[in-house]
Amino acid sequence: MTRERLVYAGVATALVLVAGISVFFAGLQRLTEDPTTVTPDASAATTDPDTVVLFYVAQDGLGLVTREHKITQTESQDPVARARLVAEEQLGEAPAPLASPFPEGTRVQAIYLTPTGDAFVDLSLEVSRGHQGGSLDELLTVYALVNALTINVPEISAVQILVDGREVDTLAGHVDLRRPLARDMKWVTDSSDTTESAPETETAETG
Amino acid sequence: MLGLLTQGHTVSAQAPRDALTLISEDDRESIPTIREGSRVLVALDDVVRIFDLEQRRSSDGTVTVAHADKAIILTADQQLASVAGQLVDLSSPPKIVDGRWLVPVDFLSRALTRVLDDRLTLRRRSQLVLIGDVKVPRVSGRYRTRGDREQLTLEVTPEVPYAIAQDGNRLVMTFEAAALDIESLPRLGGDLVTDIVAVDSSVSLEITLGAGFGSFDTSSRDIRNDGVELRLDFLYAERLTDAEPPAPATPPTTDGASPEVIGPLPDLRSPPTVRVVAIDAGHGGDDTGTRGARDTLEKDITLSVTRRLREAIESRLGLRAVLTRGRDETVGLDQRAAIANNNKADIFISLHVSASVRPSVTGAEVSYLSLNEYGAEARELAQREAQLVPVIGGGTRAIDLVQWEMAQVRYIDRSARLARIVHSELNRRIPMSTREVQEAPFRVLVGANMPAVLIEMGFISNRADEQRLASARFQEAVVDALVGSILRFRDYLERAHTDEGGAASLNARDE
Repeated sequence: MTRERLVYAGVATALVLVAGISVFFAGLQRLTEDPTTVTPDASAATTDPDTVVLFYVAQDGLGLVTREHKITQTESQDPVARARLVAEEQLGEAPAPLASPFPEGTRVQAIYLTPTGDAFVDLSLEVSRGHQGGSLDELLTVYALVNALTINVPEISAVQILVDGREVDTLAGHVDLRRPLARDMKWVTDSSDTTESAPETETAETG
Repeated sequence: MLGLLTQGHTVSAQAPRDALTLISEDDRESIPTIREGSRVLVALDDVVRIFDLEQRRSSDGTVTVAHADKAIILTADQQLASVAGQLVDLSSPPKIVDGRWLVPVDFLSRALTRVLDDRLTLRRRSQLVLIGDVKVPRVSGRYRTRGDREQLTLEVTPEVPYAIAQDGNRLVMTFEAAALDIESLPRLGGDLVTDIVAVDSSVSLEITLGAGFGSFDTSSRDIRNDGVELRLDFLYAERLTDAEPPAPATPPTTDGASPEVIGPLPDLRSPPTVRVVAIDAGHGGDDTGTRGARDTLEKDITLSVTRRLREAIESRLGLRAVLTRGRDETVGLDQRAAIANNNKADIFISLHVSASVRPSVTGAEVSYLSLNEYGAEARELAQREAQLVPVIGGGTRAIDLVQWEMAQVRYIDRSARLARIVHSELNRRIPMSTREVQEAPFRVLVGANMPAVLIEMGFISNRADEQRLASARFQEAVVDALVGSILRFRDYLERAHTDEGGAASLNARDE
């Protein structure tokens, strides 16, 4: 190989590398799951319909923290379909080192949405039978789902959890589930990290 | 960095509607905003000027703004920004319009805050940007008229000191804050107060007094997130100018006297104190509650502490203890409240043991009922005065008309007080969680027709806590704390009752 060819090869390699890095950089927006570099909040979630904000038990166990996830949108704009996607993502495995607030095996059986914005989410029996109890974890279980749905599905303003098709008093003896619950960010310990006011006090505008 | 800000551009007390107001410890500055549909943008040049940043534009559609050794690289139409070496997702992509770079307002709170020395906090609703740890409490208010008064309630979060002064027909409340983040102020329209506005660079509220105004009372109570609820009761100057003084209550007569002249009957209820304590041993029977790694069961610990507490209440305090369960049995949540209500208990103490998916979580916690989850109706009930109901023979009696299942709403203030007392007494004797007193929608509390708290004595999922919870020494320490709490709460009730300025003392701190 001549020196000239070597130079061409070097330039070509460099170009490919630069192009690759650019693609990588642009693709990071879709691919990155590094939670420390992203500041999710409600406005971000509603800006990008493919991104949802989900809630997991923080490492210190004292509250919920938020993480963004990518979802595959359904073709329809049906809020019930989106709610189901969000709920199923929320019930999925937590990204390390966070923990899921839901007992293993909990499934979404059905979701109903009233014209007034109350969502009724029917969860499988595992959410109650498999719950280890304790009022704090029960609060985190309930508000992970309530917050996830009210933040990511604009049509939902409150959520009532049903278990195996029935209304229940509580999941494990503490949190009153007899009526739809509105979003409550006080159980979210990283909400101040968003450096903005809590989403429930925000207006609908997005910057 | 804040050179321009502190060197004093023209300071406007109130930014125009289409502008953000930047507030630092010493000054404030406004920055125009541009609306594009639901998006709100600001010009990057304005941001660079105000924060004294360096700006470098490149021909490849990127711009770099830097402060000290930290830089932000923005790419036109690219939502992802590089901020001090990290990627940050903005809510919308920056764009170039007529040669000007426009960025979403959250560029300030998501990107710029990471390269400055001071934190930037964006308050969208009030269009404020807080620079550093400035005190800008959120303020919201509500107003209601009652028979003999008009009532203005302000929620201030977090709590800051304030002064209140009357100047002619104005009442001015001045807060020790850099500004007020006013979420809502009610429309006033009564005889006693007619208007409320923010004045003096938005650190004061000016209340215009109406023609009938005579005096006012203030009271306060703590609310969540370190906030305070300030209540101002405005009273009439002369209630008797156009009416005769109400006749003193007299027995009904048979000579045809109208029952309307008979005033309310005397309150025959006993003065508030503590005679009966309801102790609720959490879970039981088929419902084991939580379980520790050594198979310690929550239901056994709660029952054991309940029995010890009953013994202490009866022998050391001479009071009556009512148990919602005295053995290992299943008792419904409504039934627990019903047992306490039917026995006319003066305090309801629900004992529990917590658990976490994180074994490191440890310590005791105290909660009382949160009303937020029960809607506006619950708050309304909590505020409502007893209604005067006519009784046979003439006269009226004050009756509380509250649904059975919402009985607790009338006791929220006292439950909060009881919870704080219990928390402080436990804190002297056993390890506590780092979380302060909590408000939560706990099912067992809502039907209790008396001050009620729920205590999580520790986390059974923590090995040390599990061992401790099962020990007699620990359980006796909890009992000592609760005995001390009952005494303190009884003192508080009795003191508040004898205090003529009861409302203020009911809500004042005593810790």
